[in-house]
Amino acid sequence: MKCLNDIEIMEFISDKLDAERKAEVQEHLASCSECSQRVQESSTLWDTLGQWEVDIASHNIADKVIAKIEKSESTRKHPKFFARHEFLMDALKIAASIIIAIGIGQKLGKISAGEKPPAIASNQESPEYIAALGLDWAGDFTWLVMEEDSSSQENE
Amino acid sequence: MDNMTDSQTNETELMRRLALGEMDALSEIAKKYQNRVLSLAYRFLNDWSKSEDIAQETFIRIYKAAGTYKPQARFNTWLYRIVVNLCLDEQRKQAKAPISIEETMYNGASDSESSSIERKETIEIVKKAINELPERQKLAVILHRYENLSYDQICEVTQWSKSAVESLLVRAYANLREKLKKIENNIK
Ligand SMILES: [Zn+2]
Repeated sequence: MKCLNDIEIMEFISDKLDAERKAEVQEHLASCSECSQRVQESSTLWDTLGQWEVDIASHNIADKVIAKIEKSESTRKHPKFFARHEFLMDALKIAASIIIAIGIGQKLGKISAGEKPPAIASNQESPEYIAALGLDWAGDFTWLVMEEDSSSQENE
Repeated sequence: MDNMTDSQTNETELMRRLALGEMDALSEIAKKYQNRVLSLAYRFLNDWSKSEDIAQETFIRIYKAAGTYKPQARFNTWLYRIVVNLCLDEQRKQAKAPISIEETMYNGASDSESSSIERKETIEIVKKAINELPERQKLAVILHRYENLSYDQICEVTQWSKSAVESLLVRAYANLREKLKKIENNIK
């Protein structure tokens, strides 16, 4: 057998060679002082490097990792919450428009019941149809009617 | 080495359970491998707080990958590959940013105590010698000497060619031998 290369020496020292190869190396070392010398030197280096131990006892990675994952899983559930929230907002909008409609209905109801139409703010010109509806210009629900009106104009 | 196959079967089973959302399986994996992950990261980066971050990130990645994990690759190799990539990324980040005083001080109070002054000196010299190695030599030698990976396993983990790993290890040990010659003579 020819002399050992550097990698073989390191693999021999760290006991990573298979049994067959290990036996061959040992046989060679018995008859080759040069390789024995190199193995001896490398072995010393191996032991010196081995003195650097690190103390890991104080770390607990498992619990921290699981806590982190559980935290991020719960934030990932937020979009679902917002989706539900959005649905709630829609429900609120519908409820609000019903209340507004009732409000208008009451105002209109007052007119049909023969009450005196409310006064129109003197310093502002009120569109005739607002007055005809008996609503205050710049009053309670006027904006609503105006808005409806402008949007219907856009549609034309 | 003999129980590598048993261990692989066990890890495959743990990954299968993890894919089903069983966090106990992740806990088991983390407890089994955290020392290897931490020691590798610490020896490479010399910073406990960053090594902790890397260890946590490693197991989070394992958790995320559980659903697609294929047991063809040895679990060990796969895990080391994750750690090595995270370490190299961190090293590159560090190279850009200057190290703060706080971090340097935090590093100081770390390694195993209970050693004589002479031994402590040896450890400091070993640490310094390893840290002075070029990045790839340093990584190869840490995997070989401290993580006890064979030269073939180092090739699998780093995905560097056999000739590259061989030459890195040979140069790394030669460099270390040079650097440590002095203290070796003192110890004898
Ligand atoms: Zn020889």
